[in-house]
Amino acid sequence: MKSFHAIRKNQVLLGITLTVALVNLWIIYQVAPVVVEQEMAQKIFYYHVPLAWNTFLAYLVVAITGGAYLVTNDPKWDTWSLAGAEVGTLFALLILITGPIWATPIWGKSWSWEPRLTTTLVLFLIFLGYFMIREFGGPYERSSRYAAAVGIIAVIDIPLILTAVTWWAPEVQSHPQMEMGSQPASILNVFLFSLFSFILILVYMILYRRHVGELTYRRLTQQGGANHV
Amino acid sequence: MAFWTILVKDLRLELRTRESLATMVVFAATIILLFAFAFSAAPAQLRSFAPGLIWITYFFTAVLGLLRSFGRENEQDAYDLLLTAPLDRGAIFLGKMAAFFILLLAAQLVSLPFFILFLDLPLWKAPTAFALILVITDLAIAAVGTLIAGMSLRSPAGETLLPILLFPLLTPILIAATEATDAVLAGQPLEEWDFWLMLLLTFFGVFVLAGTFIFDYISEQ
Repeated sequence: MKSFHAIRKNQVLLGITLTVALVNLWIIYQVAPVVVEQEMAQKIFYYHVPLAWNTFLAYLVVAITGGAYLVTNDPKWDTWSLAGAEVGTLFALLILITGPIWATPIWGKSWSWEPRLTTTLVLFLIFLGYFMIREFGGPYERSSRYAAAVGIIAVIDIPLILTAVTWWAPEVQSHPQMEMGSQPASILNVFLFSLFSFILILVYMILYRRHVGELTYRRLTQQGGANHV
Repeated sequence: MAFWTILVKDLRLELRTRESLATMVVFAATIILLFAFAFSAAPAQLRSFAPGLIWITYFFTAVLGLLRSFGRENEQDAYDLLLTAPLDRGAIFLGKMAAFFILLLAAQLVSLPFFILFLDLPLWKAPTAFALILVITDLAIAAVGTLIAGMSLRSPAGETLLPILLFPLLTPILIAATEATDAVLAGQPLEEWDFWLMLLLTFFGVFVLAGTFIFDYISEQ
């Protein structure tokens, strides 16, 4: 099996992803208008919000492929699940970092129990547990089944967590940009381009991680050691 | 059928040894004692912390109970034998869940006087409201707890994995139970906090369904 970047279409994907990401950065700095009351701090939203959308996209991949793995028992679905979980959790961590960076100058404190940020934190913790059960859950076959189940449970839990933390802290000010659709076109277009850029990054990272996951799995099964990992 | 067999088996085991119930109650009493000492500087504020303290204690107690309930199954590979039996796995899940629910509720009811006595809580003023919260919350804890314990406790590092996996998943439950208890202690009528009960019920409904399906797939040998 070839390495990931030896495959032509992956090289093309990497090229497009990198170009779009750089153009995106340039647009955010040079083209996007400066929002008067927030100045430069507002620009982190072009990273923060697409990261959030893509985190949930990645976790959706985890739940769906996890379900497919439980039903079919085909290890290829498990490599998808693992890739989605790792990329999603990395993105979740970036949300948890970019959120406070924005909040520090705007709200005057780094952490507020804003419902969506809180939900991300809880999800992040759940997925740390996900990796732990994968790692320490016993034989490979069993631990990946458990991980698939935890991934599904976590995604089912998202709306419940969001509801609970929203009702729990109703006084916490929500994002100033509740409705992206009601933003002026100059901001909305930059946001949509950034969203596109991050979807490309998500797809590229998941494909890459999945490829590595499959190579790892093959190596394990060739050594006949899949049951001892 | 399998449901009742598992339920009765678990309860009979517990009635004969009483080890889970005894450890859970003594543990709860110990934690309450620690809280009373730790927060002794501000007895007046204790009332506002009380709902949180009650539910944190009950969450820890629940983990202790799950460790016993499934730890027992691991002895002499009883659990593997149970899974070899030609039974519906969903029924095994529901049976374990129901037995754990009864155990948890019993442990809480026995340890409730400690809360009332040591933390000076007027819980008896609204017994039905608090009983309602207790029952629904325990159902929700039992559903997710049984599902997670059924997985983690068969792993080598199970005892440590269980709370790590369980507590973040149960965040909505902790919030809802704490807020509802707070409302009851503040003497609010049911209409003002019934949405927390709805959230608890939804949580229970969703995870009892999900659990019944998922348990089937994760319980392979």
